[in-house]
Amino acid sequence: MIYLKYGIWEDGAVTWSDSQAFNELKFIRTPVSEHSAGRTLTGKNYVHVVSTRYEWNLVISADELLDANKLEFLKKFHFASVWKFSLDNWANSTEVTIADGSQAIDLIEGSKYLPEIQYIFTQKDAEPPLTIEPPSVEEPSIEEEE
Amino acid sequence: MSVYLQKKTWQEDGAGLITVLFAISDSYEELFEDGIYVDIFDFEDIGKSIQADVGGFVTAELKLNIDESNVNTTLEKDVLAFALQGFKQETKRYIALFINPTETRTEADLLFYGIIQPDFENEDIYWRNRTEYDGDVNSLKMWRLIAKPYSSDILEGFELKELIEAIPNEWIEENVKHRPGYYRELRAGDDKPSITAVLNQFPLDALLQEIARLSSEIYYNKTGINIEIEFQHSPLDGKFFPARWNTATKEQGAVAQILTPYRYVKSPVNAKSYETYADDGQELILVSDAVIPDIQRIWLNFGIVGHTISEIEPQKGAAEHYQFTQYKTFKDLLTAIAIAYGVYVSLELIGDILYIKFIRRADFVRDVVYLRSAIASKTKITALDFSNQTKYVAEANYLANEGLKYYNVDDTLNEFKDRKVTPSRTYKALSDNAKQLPFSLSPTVAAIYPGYDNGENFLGMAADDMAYLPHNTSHAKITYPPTEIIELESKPFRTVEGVHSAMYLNCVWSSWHTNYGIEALNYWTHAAKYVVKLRGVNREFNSLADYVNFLQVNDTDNAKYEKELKSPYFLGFSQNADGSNPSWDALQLGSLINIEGIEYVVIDISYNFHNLEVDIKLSALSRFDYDDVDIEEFEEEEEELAGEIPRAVDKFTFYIADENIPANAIVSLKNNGRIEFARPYESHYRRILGFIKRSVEAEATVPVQLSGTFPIPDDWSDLIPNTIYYLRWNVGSGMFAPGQEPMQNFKLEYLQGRTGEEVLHCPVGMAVDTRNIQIFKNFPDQAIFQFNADN
Repeated sequence: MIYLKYGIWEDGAVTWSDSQAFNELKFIRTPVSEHSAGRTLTGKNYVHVVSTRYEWNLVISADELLDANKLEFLKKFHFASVWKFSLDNWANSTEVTIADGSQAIDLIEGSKYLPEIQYIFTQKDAEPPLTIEPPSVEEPSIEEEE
Repeated sequence: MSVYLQKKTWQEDGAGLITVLFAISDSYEELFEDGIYVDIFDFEDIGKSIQADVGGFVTAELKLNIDESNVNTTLEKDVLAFALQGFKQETKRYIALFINPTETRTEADLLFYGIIQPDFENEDIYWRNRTEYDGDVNSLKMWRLIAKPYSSDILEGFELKELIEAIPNEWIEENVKHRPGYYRELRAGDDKPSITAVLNQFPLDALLQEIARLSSEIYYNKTGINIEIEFQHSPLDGKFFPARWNTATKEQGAVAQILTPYRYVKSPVNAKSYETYADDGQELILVSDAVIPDIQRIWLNFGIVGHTISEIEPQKGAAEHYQFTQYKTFKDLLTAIAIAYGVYVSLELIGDILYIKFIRRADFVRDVVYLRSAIASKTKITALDFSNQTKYVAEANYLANEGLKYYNVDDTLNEFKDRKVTPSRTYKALSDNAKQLPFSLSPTVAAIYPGYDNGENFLGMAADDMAYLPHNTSHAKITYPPTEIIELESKPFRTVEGVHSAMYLNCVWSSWHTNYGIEALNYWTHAAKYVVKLRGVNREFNSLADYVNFLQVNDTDNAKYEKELKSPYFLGFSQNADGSNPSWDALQLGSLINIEGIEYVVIDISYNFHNLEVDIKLSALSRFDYDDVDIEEFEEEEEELAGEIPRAVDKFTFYIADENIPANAIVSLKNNGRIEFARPYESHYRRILGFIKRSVEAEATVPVQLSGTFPIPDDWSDLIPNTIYYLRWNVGSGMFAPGQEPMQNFKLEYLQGRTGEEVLHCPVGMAVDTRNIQIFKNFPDQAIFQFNADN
């Protein structure tokens, strides 16, 4: 189950909609990163990692869209300016933006009665820069002489 | 008081995490404090460069964009409004950009510091009102702001003329004075001795400080904002050399000529009227935050300022073209000064203080920096077009060009107000591509006919003789020894006084000068020569315009091979050849980069935060390769000079006396850097310094001769040639009152053992003839007797 909310800016603050729950047909998380890359005159490639985020590909099945309330929610969802989702009924949530290709409608078997809707969410805030802890080196134990 | 922060991070290949922290505040101090984080600023790039002209400003600016469509929260809207208030004079917005700052940010972490400039632009990106034909569009904008390290309104906001007119009389009385000239004459039978006075001299640094003070005052009156201007220590490149005027009488003919009152010749003046000496160079300080010794100041005649036009100015309308009031603003004057000396001006507003520093070329070049790599490198070769190039001229005034020139004074009426000048030229406007420098090296001379000077003939002048007198000097009666206040004779027009661009120098009496016997101990004279050491070669200039035009060709010649590099690394610069410890701040304006065996100087750096690239512009090092001037002798004879340039073989250095010392004495150097009368005591062992020619009082400055030939006074008995003289009490020489010690501290007989207090054996020189002693340089042979002399 995925819970969605949308919001609009009003007088410098966000007004959030009520939550709407969906049974997701597909909800896949993939990491994406933005690079600044090239090749120097010495022939060496370089890659600067500018930012790292997650993307989610959400597909909502035709069964869910039979519910007129849910369909109405998704129409408003698309025209909003801020978005967030939760997987635990808002104990935790993630703010996202919606990327190109969202709300692409796929008609199953060409039937207009069986539409599936796809969303591509992009994490709004970048992930903290990746840091890797150096491997810990165990101090050799000194056995006391008996 | 607020400070808002924004962070941008990226992982640089080969270096690691880079954090750029942007801070905006309404006070400089708070830029370094914790604040509220936002995410609305798009800092595009930072550019730092020096202007490509001969001299000019060091510039730095940050381009900053704010897209209103990203401004949503109340906080973000408040921060946008806070930033946009920067366009008002009274609400300055300070900007800082730190790279990889430490937890407590310091100035060492600053990549850029600046103030939002009052002129910026915006572009509508969206009209929220969708009604056509409705002007109330309610737009969303893209704001484009620029920040620079200073706000120039205090330097450009009002006219320089207004500032100059506001100079108070108290300042003029304190700083503008008739100063002692190059020659003094103690006339027998007169009630007072007389001297040549150099008229209305003031130090340039004091004037700049006063204009700065007035700028702050007027700025405060107009805006209610208090900003002080502080100049930082700004020495100039190279050395300036004083004109040591010769004196001569008609009897000496045309070889040596006069230049003082009561001295005259028939033939026109020639270059032998003054001399410049290789050991006479003075390193000048343009302006400073500390007291500048008079000998290192730039002195000018007050007529150049434009505060007033003298009643006796021969051509008032023409004079205005040579006065500071020709410059519109204080910044224009600073620019003109920078060009005249080929230096660069750096401005930085920290808190309420605008710091101004002139950077000489020798100080512009920094350490070598090694570049990790580049993604682009191109060399720009531009064909030179001298036809459009500015030609700099430095006319002394409307009567004479720069250099040793003269003009005639035709004063037939002997009346103060009716003086006339018969110039060899009149003022002619410069061509469009010519610019007048504010200063010049101009020992200009006025040629005066006898009988026409204050109704008083020069002694012994025949009707067709002429006297040649340096411009802006006059005869004056004084109290001797000279004080700073010189009383001019009742009608001070023994020469023409008027607006003149000549630089003057304060110099100390020199025993190498042919006039030393009558020269004042400390006096003012015209600057006559400028020498810089560029690319290891001393280059002599008898004209400031020649120097500036030389710089222009030199700069242009090198600029035609300008190189541009693009680095993809912010941390790709190291001061070590192996690339260790790379950092962003290893790269600075003035850093040296060696590419394909050619050394370049960095003259422009641009950090692009969108592409994460650093663009660097380079110019050949030869443009800035200055060094300390150390001249053995002037290399070339000046074309105008007739005869040989005197060569100074005697080495002198100036010291302050710690006690009264008699003339023609050997002196010792004390631990405090001052000199004292040398005594043949154990305490003077290894402290013997040299000879002084003239007596000196405590606290006064005197030249000490360290090597060469020392002439003994005319009234001393002959020396014995080829014999050594020693540091000893010459008891027969009379007593010197202050210490009740012998007047002379060297003699022929050497010490044969401890004799009373005399214990130090020190040969000081050898008589080369009956009148001169060749000094033993550094006095290497010294010893202290441990046994008594046989009596």
